[in-house]
Amino acid sequence: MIDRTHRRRTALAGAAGAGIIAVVIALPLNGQAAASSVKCPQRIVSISPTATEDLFAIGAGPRVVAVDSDSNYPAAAQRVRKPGLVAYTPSAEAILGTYRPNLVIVSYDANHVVEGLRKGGVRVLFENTAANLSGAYNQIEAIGAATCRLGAARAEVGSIKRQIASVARAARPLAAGLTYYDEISAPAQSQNPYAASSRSFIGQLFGLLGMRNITNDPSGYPALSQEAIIASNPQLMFLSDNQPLDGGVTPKSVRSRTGWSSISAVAHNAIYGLNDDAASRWGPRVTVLIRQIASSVRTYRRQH
Amino acid sequence: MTGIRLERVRVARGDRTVVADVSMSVPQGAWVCLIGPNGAGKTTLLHALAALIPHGGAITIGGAPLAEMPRRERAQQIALVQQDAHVPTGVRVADYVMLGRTPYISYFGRDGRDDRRVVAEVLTQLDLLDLADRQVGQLSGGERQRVVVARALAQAPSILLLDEPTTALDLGRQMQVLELIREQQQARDLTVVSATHDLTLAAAYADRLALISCGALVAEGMPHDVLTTATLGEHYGVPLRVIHDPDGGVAVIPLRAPTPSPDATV
Amino acid sequence: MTTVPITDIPERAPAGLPRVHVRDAVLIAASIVLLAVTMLAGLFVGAVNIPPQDIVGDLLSRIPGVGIQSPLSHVDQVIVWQLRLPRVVLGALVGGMLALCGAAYQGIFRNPLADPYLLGVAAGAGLGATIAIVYAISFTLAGMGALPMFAFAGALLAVGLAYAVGRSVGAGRSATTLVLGGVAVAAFLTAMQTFLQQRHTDQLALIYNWILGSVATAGWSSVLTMLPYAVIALIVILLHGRLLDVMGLGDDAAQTLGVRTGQVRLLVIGAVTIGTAAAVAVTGLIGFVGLIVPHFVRLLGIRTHRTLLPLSMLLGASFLVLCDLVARTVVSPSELPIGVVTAIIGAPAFAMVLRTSRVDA
Repeated sequence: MIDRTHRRRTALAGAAGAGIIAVVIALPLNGQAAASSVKCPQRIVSISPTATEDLFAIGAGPRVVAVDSDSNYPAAAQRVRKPGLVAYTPSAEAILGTYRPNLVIVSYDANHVVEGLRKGGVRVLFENTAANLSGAYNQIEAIGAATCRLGAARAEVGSIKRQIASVARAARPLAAGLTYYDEISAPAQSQNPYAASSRSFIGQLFGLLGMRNITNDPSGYPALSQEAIIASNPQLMFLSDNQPLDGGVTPKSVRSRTGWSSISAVAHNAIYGLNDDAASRWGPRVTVLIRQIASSVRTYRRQH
Repeated sequence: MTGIRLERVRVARGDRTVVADVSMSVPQGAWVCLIGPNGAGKTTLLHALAALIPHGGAITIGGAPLAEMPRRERAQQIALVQQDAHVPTGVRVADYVMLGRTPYISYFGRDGRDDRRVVAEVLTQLDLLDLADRQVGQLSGGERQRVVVARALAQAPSILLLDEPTTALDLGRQMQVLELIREQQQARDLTVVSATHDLTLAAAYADRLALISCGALVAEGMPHDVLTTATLGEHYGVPLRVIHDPDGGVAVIPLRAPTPSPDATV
Repeated sequence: MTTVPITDIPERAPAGLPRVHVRDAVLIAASIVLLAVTMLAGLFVGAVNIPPQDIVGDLLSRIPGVGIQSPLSHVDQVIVWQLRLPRVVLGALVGGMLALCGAAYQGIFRNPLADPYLLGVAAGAGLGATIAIVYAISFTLAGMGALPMFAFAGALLAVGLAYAVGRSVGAGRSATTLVLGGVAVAAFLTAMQTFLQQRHTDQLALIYNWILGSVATAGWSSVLTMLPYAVIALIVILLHGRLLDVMGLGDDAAQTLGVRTGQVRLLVIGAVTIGTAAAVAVTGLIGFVGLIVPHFVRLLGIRTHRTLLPLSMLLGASFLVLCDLVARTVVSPSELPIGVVTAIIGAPAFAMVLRTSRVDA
């Protein structure tokens, strides 16, 4: 038989807790968030660097009131860049209270921020990493639709498509069949580097030029053993993370790796850097990326 | 009636027989001390009596088989003081002794007025009332041993089992603890079964001795009957001499290798 | 040293010992007040500056019959009642649950280093969360997302496995074999989790975010999800206070006192597992609270579980609410991972109390 005092005390605790919660829930505190009836949002917050680039590319820039700390492009975005706003640790309360937005675009739902913002009556677009080009185009158009810039968005998408097509057309004869290895990060000197496979977003760009990746791993970003890289002997090597100031890899450090000098790309000095930021985003600067790839191929062909 | 009867009791640990065919009876109110070399099976036998390990053969308490006794009733009848009783540091003496009332408190219950009265009585009888608020970890060895015995007595048992209750205590404290147990035994009509290495003290306090060697009961009876030079010499395997004191005490004297001495007599 | 005199039994037993230690009752009352104060602070303070009196005014305006207008804008109301309040309540629930479970495990395993994640709960929940994030991120069942469900299931599975491994050793269901079983299971599940993480590095940030833990929430769904399990765990554990003291004597001694040690251990482990799994499922792995808060209470001189358990729970709740308050205000508009705050605040505080208290042997 349960002792009376224990029972009483536990019941009291339970009742107190349940009571508080019941009162809180019963009071009309959970009123329906006013559905965002703002058709063309005038206050936009973006905590996705890609979405920031998209917004400014389609002409919605003037209505952007805050972007996250990593949104460093274009230059106009720098004016509303908030160093304290971090995409990985956002605060719905802070965003709501400080910026009073009508539309927020995120690529990453941390800290229940999407739900929190929606409860605050804000429209939220959750645009996570695009798996391929058509996904990226869809995101631009979705952003266009949400910001009453659909026409501009479609025009932008069309422009990107045309540029990519023309670059690809010109570069294919030179690039088709070339083998390449795209390194996205190398944790430490002798550890296994991470590569972007043919199935990654950027891998698909290479694919448009007919180039062959040394790996077709479906995960998109496999860690490769150095043996496998050396054995596959790529003709070209690309570095997606190559700013020495933030720990990136330089062609020089690649050459100093043991055994790598036997790789064709290293021996022939065919190591090319890509724009770091563009390489990790899926926005309008895919054109920059594909131009860089094409230009690297042309350089390679000139020398070999 | 709480006499203990052991009939052909066997205890095995794994595939090793530790206690083999021990038969004896402990009359109610008597103090039987188990003696014998290390590893003879004394602790194992005590643990079997406390129902901590299964046994073959039969152990009956006042006629009722130990193995079939309900758990709570068993805990209210039999109290065990272990050799190295683990005492949680920082616990107050009064709270520690109160733990001995567990067999009388329901599963989710709390100590009641009766329990608190019993604990107060035990603390008084064992001269621990002044220490009731102290932490057990801060007590001296002798005081701590009294506290452990107090916890066992708080169980209000009819049978008290003690495994080496006086190891690590000096002679004075040893006698103190044993006097205490003797006194409580008489006051509460307890049946006591203890195990010890100290043959002399065993002879001084126990009513009967039981010599266990290699798991078997090899001698049992009054101290001066069990403690003979021949018997002990054979089972302990060392030269010794037993002296019977005219007042009834028995002393066991180890004999070292003879050295030239003017007094040497054998 | 005086010998024990042979005395008569006193004719009248002395008056019984006092029932409740006055100090214990005072401490519990004080910690309840502290919790209330901390929760109020959590409601009034946040990333956005909303005057407390306006919050009170808004609350009053909601009571039917009182005719005042709310001084808060709609967005501010959402911030206070739908973002801050659920978060504060969740923090109190989780902090209390973790501290209570930590104290219970330290008692049942007689080990001061025990924490609620001991039998593989963390590894199991982590693996479940990783699987959810990598393979099932958009899966929902009855409105609940994959992440909390898989994390909860993973936690339960891990403890079940640890129990099975411990029992198969054959040395009885002793505390040590259970702990060792938990170590083995945790190592295995962590290895699987690491393998998955490494194969899906693009999801790494999401997974790590979850592992670092957070009480950020919107609306009451997280609280309501966790509540039934928390209440069950709380009731079972609190009722076992006295038995935990008895178990502290060691299995043998407890058995001679008539306690079914295996069964008690199973019940307590079951309750702790359910409560911890529920907490972890909604907030990820928040460390330090379950380990340190009970020790803090012990340093105050509380040793019996009857007081240690509820006091740990109340102080753990206050502690986590306070840490969350710090986590969401100091680097606003960003937030610190709460595990970082609990360690940064908790460790020095604990060290200070350790130094100034008289630590017994």
